[in-house]
Amino acid sequence: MNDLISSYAGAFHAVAAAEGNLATVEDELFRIGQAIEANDELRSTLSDAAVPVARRQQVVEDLLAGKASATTTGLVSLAVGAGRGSDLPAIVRALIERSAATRNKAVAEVRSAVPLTTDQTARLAAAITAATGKDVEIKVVIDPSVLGGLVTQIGDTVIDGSVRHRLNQVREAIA
Amino acid sequence: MSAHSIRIILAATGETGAGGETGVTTATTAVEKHGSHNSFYGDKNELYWGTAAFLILLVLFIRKGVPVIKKAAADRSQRIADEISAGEAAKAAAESDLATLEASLGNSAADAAVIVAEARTRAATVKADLIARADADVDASKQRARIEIEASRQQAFADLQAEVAAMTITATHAVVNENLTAAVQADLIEQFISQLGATR
Repeated sequence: MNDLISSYAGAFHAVAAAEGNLATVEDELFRIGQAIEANDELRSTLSDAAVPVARRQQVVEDLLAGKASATTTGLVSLAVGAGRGSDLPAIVRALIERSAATRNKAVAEVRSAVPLTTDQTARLAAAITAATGKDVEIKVVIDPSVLGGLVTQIGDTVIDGSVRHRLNQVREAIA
Repeated sequence: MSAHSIRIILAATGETGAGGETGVTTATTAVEKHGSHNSFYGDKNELYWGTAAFLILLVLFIRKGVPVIKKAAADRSQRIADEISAGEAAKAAAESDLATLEASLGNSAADAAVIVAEARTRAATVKADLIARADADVDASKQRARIEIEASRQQAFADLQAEVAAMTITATHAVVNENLTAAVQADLIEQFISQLGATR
């Protein structure tokens, strides 16, 4: 499975690079991957073998029309047509790590209840680099369940500074 | 003796005279021959005949009557002796039966006493066992009740604690949400960045 996902990630990276809009495609695919991961119904629909391939691809095109580049839409449609709709989040994650690796960087997935400004993102990247010794690329995921603060994941390392985490600590202390 | 008296005697004995006549006739004749001489020793013949008649009668009595009387007396004595013997034998048999019965009754009483004693001992043992078992059951019930009470107390405390925690978290959540303004969010992000940057 990992080889398959890695193969798709490599193919996506090659297509995006050939199209010359790797950064844009990465960003769009990242957001699409987050949406699929967060939405069970969408993930189920895109991976349901009972739904004809053409119908599933039509759903993708309808969803991304005007919101993503043609390259991004084409790659997602390709994966869904190949029956890999539910694997898209993993494929996108592998693609982003592969792209970051080509730039000698790691990917830091940051979850926040509110969008981060460019300045905050830059300072956060610098802080993570200072803390871990790795150059990172920040991928922000808007997650209202975080409530406040940030949750950062670099590889297997998670740094949780969210309000949700503090509330959980309070709950555990009381219970 | 007068002729009348002699007649009475001869009539009573049934004796007859030597000539086929009865003694009564002979005696009467003799008396009548002597007329009405009433002196007690007045007529010697009368005395002789009277004595002879008496002796005759005495001999007859001794020979005929005494054996009969003796035999009757002996028979009666024998009968009485037999009856006494039979009575004594019956008495001995009855006494023997009585002794046997008393002995039997004595044995029965002893057996009954032994049975009663055994029954009392057994009853005492059963009673002690029942009491001990009842005590053990009561102790076990008390122990179970204590455990259940303790478990209920702990469960109630845990439920209360969980409820308080849930209420506290809910209240805290509400307060936090209410106070999570854009400025607070930005401040939280800045705090995270600062703390992470300070970590080496």
